[in-house]
Order: sequence, then structure tokens, then C-alpha cells
Amino acid sequence: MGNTSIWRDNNKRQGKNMAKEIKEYGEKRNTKVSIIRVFACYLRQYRFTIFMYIIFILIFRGVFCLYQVEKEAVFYGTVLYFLLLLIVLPMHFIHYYLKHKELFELKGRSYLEVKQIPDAKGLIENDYRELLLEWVENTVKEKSRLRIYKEDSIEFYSTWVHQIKTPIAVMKLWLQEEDTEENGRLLLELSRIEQYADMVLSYFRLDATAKDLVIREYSLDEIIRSCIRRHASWFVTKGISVRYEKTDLKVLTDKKWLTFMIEQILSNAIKYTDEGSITIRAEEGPFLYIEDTGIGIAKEDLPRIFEKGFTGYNGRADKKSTGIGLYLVKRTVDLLGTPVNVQSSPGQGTAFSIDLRKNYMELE
Amino acid sequence: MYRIMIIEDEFSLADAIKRQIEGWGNEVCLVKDFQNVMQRFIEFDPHLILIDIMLPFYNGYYWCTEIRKVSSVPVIFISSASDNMNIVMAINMGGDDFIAKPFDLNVLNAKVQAILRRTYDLAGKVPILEQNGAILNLNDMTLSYEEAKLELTKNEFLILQTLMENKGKVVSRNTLMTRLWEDDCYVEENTLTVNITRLRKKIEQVGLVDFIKTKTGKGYIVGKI
Repeated sequence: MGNTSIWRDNNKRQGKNMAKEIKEYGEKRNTKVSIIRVFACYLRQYRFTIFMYIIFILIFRGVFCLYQVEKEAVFYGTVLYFLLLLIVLPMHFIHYYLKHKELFELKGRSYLEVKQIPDAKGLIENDYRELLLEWVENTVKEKSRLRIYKEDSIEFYSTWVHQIKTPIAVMKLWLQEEDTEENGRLLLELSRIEQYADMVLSYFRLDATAKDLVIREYSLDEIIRSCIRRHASWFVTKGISVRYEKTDLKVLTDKKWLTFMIEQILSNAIKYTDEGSITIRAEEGPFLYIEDTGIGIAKEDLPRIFEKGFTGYNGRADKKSTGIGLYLVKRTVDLLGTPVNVQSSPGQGTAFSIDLRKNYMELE
Repeated sequence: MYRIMIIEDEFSLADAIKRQIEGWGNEVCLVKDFQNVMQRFIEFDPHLILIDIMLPFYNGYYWCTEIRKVSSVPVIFISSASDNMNIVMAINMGGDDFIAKPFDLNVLNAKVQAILRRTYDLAGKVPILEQNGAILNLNDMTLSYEEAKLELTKNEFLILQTLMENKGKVVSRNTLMTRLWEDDCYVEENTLTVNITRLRKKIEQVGLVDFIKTKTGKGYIVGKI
């Protein structure tokens, strides 16, 4: 357990360094193309030509001097040449500048089409262009492969979840035949299995984009009550009471995902509370608070509880968690835009708060 | 009483449902040949059909359509996918109701009873539960015995309803409390005890003595064991 956390810390550090480098590079890169800078690069690029030209002038002037060619002839030739240069040079430079601008503006796109890459002039440019084309094609193929793989995975897991629901249904029916304490406990564990199976589908659906959400107005109390109902037998079997203060709030959100979020938090609260109560109330904001009188979370663990696969460490045998539930809560936060905060004191309890300020609707 | 046909290829599930429905006093037929469902349907002439959507050869929707060509017998779809599209499709295909796996026994019972009642009972009949002459009216939450009629509070009604639905079987305290919680009544242990005591006092007043028996350590029971 200790080893895995070091590994994770190293990766995090590397990731942070890389992020810093990328940010600095981005800042160096100007977003505008400045003519002066381009001209400086132009001169630098053609310095060989310029150099050879200056040598050429010097050699010929030297030779003409030695041969005592008429100064006028030399002068006339030079002037003619410079006039020509004055016409041709700007044209050449402008072409150069425009090409640079075109290429420069193609940078930073997440998706590049083959036809967007400008034509190449010359062998070397063509080499680069063909190399680039090869890589664009590779990326497209790779993206397509990943998409197919993901769709396959979703399909597989969907089928798996549907399959597993059948034996669960059978067991439920058998266990409901006789209402004993053992059967009651078994039924409870069965619904937890069912919950985990459903979490698999939620995990895949979380990749939904904002446009897949169904945003409507809902009564927050109704959503809360449905969550409590679904956990009723767990509350009752564990002997935990619930203190629910009606919120009378209306929220603008996707009901399915908000329900999911509240259910996961509630699940977590019940799991780590052996006796006492769970309080659900709203505060100015509005913020929805789900507070329990459970075993609490250690301060060192607090920032990490939303990590995928985080199970708590230091060998505390009573802190068992697969680290899925709260991770999914975090992903749902990103999806809905409702930040979740945690406060806890070990031995006293934990309080989750859901920030609903962006979802709040004024009561008419 | 009624003939119920189950078209479900997962035998263990079909069998479990069969046991339940037979326990309520009905005759059940399990379809085994999924290519000749129609023939079995005509032979058995059921009052109600429970059909799974996922079946070998043809799916549930197909069979429902086939059945609808010759009969308007009520059909309840079973499926493990409960998302809205499936429900809409099931109803559009001529189904009367939809139940999602894994389902609660109470839900299955309620749906089957509701549909049977709706289809076969004469209009005007009131839904009731009866035991030893005591009649629990499910519509207005009253208990009638002989000449007397008792008004019950919601909690008392739910407790009595659960006990009478499971007459002859022990119902644990946890089950009673869960039932109340599912009706948004978040009772605790002592609240339940208080409610039961009050309920007992009430029904004793109309002459029903020892209607709710306690089975120490297990729960409560109504009716003969």
C-alpha cells in the first residue's frame, strides 16, 4: 500500500513538470505573427545566399578595380541590379511571410485534415510534408481504433450487467419467500451487488458530453426522498436513523445524474456509519449537506478520497473501500458542475456538501 | 384462480416466479419451446402473460405482436434494461406493463394483481384485504369488522397492509420499518413499537383480539400459521 502511493506521487510530479514545460512553451509562442520577427528569420534563413552575394560583389569589384574597368560601368550595373532586387525581394519575402503565417495558424488545432496542409515547394519541404501526412493518417486510424474499442467495451459491459441481473432477481425472489433475519441480511447484500453492477454502466456513461444531459426543473426534495427510499432497507438493517430537513428547493439539473451523485454519497455515509444518524439538510447558497456520525476520514486521506481506486492506507482494517463510488462522484461533479466538498473528524463523522449554486432556481 | 403464462428462457428465474404466483393460488405454465410459443398460448389460454424481452429465436416484442393479432390478453414485459426507451417500446408493442429485473416481490405482486383486477374484475369492486372477517380497505385506509369501521393513520395502515398481504407468514420488524421508510416515513425502532401498540389497541376496540401475534425474536404475524 505504501509503495503504490509513492509510485503515484512520482507520476504526479512528472506530470506536474511536464505541465509546467508545456505552459512555458505556450507563453513563449506568440499568438500574433510579427512581421519584424519574420523578417529577421527570413534574413537568417537566406544568410547563405546573402553571404555568397556579398562575396560575389566583393570579388567582382576587386577584379574590376584591378582591371581598372570604368567606374561608371560598375556603378551603373550595381544600380540596375539593386533596382531589380528592390522589386523582387519584397515579393519573395511576402511569399515567405504568407507561407509562414499559413503554417503558423495551423498549429494548436486538435484535428488536422490532410487537405489543410499547404503545398510543398522543393524536395526538402516535400519530405516534411509527406512525413506529416503519414502521421496524420496514423492518428486518424488510431482514433478510430480507440473509438471502436470503447464501443465494444461498453457493449460488453452492458450485456454483462443485464446478464448478472437475472441471477440476482432469482435470488431476491427466493429470499423474499421467508422473512427471516438471515434472509434480510442476504437481501441487503444482494442489493449492494446490484448497486455495484449498475456502477459499471454509470462509469461508461460518465463520458457523456454536456449535450447528452437532460436538464429540467426538479424538486430537490423529491430527488432526496427517492434516494432515501432506495437505501431504506440498509438504513433499517443497520439501525441508523435519518434526519431529513425539507429543503423546499427547486433545482435545474439532470435528474438521473444528480440522483446518482446523492445516492453514492449517501451510500458512502451509511457504509461508514455503524450507529447514530445521517442528516440531510440544505444551507444558504444553496448547499446540500449530507452529514453522518460515522468513523470519519483521516486528514491525510481527505484530499484523496475522490481518487480512482483509493482505499485508504496505514493498514486500518476498517477502512475498506473499492474507491469507485467517490471517484464516480467526482466525475459526476465535472459533468454537472456541482462541486462537492468534504469535511471530517475521525471518530465523529463526515459531512459532504454539494454546491448547487449554479443549479438553483428562484422560487416563484 | 387465474391462468398465468410465463415466457422466460432463464429457467431458474421462471421457476422462482412460478413458485410465487402459484403461492398466490394461480395456475402457472412455463413455456419451454421458444419456437412454438403461439401453440402453447392457444392450448393454455392464459389470463395474463409475463414475457421477457430477451428470448432465443424471436424476442419478446415479436411474440407480443403475434399474440396481439389474436388476443387482447394482458401482457407484462420483463427485462433487465429499465431505461425509458425499452418501456416505451414495450407499451407501444401492445404490452400493458413493464417490470425491470431484478424486481421486488411486492412490485411483481402488485402489478399482476392490478392488471388481473383491471381486466377481469367487475367494475366497482373495491381493492381489499381480508382476514378473519376483518376487511382492510386499500382505498380509504379503513378497517371494517362486523359493524365497526376504523380509521387508520398512514403508518398503522401500512403496517396492517404488509401483515395482511403476508398472512400466515412472519413479517420481521425490519421489513415493516423498511415499508414505512419506502413511504417516506423514517421511523426508528421504538416508533415502530409505539405504532404497533397503538394499532393493536385500536383493533381490539372493535373486537378483534389477538389479531396481530408476536413471534418473539422474529416479528409479527397475522392469520393462521
